[in-house]
Amino acid sequence: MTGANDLATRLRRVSADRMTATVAVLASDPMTGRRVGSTGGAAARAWLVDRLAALGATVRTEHFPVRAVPQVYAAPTVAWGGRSGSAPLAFGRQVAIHPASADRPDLRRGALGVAGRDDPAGRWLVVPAELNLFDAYRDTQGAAGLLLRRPVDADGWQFTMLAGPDPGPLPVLTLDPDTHSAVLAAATARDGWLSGATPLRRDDVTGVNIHARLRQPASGAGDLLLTAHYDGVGDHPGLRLPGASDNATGVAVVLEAARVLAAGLPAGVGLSVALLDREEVGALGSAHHATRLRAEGAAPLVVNVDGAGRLDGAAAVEAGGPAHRLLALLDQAGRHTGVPLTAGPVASDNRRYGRAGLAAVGIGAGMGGYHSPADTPDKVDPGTLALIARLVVATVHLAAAAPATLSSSIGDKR
Amino acid sequence: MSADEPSTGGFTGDPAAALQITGSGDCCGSPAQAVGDIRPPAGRADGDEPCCGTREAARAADSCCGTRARADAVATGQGCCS
Repeated sequence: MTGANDLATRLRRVSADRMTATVAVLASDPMTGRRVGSTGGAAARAWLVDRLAALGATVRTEHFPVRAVPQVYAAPTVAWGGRSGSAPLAFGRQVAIHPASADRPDLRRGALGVAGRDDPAGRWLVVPAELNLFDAYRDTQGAAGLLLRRPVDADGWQFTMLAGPDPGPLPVLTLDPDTHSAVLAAATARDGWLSGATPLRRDDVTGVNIHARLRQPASGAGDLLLTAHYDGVGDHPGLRLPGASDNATGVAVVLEAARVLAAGLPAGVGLSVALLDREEVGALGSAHHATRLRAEGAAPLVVNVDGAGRLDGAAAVEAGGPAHRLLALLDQAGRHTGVPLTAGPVASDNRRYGRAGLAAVGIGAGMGGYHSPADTPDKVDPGTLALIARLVVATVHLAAAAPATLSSSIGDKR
Repeated sequence: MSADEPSTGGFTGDPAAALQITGSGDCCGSPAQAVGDIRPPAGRADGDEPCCGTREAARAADSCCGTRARADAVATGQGCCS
């Protein structure tokens, strides 16, 4: 089943409804945002293993240690005030805990000051927008903590990050631009105080990749690997971060593409799926997997999907490793399926495979509500899911149908 | 869109540009981290902006991605491509 008509048949089998249902499951309450090492992450993994096994795949899990994953273990109580009164700050919108913060569950109250200008002793220091955190740390002896400006998304939420710098000695809170501006003005006038806590611990946990082999490659034949990360940044106390677009959509696309492709690839062509953990903390799940592949002597063409929530003009594509041929196939697939593509950053697991010397492309199409409570299933566009899944199916179909020596005008050096 | 309909898809421009993304050889992880929205309090040496590793390791190696800093970054989950 390799001809153009067969591809058309296969593309018609792609189900947006099925992918939408997958996104809804992975973004649901029991999955708790799928942070690495969490019960929700384990629940998502068990569900995904069942789905892959139902496709007839041979499924294995790969465990690896993960150190110091930051976790907000209580909603921080923060308030500030001045001559005109006081106000509590809403967690997630007006205030959040910076990943470089020290763990300080006790409330600290202090006068406001301006970092780099005022005596730091006992003060919460507001860091002006032109000063970065590193610079602000230079003169903080005895300070109560630091207050950084952080942008908010269209829904007014601050984004959450797990990957970040080492924890420093001070509490560090982030404030939305309006609050930061007001607090800075009060600090500049030497009129105001802030009371806050930073309950942020770091857990050593276990990350778990899922690898599913649907078809073994014959000797000398092509091998393809579809990847997506299933972890998210995880819920906070009182705040759900469903991780629908990032990256339940990518997982849904990969599962659907595998379902459509599993039965019909030419004999000898290999196909496997890797659903990766811990992308959100430095992409080390894929680093672990790429290392294992190299040790096993495997060299699949890697197609990674990170975000398929809403296509905005064109899907971003980033490539690494000897990926000229894979790019040519992706270009053909894009033309065939009508998916516009543009070279752009996809800072995800594809980089790990590319750095390991494997031909790898990352595809990204939509990250609305990035790492915030706004990343909900209702914002995911079923049409985008279908388009990206068809793009992946067509890419794999073309790779399987074309001889391994397929060249293009931008062919790889051999 | 049907697969049988005329297509406007595929790359605009040179597909090989996807191999030349700025920063792709540096930090791994989230886009926010990759674009350097937040600079780490530890790990930046004078005249340099390493994206990972502890301050001590980075200074010892005189580079974020020196061997020791990289190993430390991986061990502590900072995320440094290697």
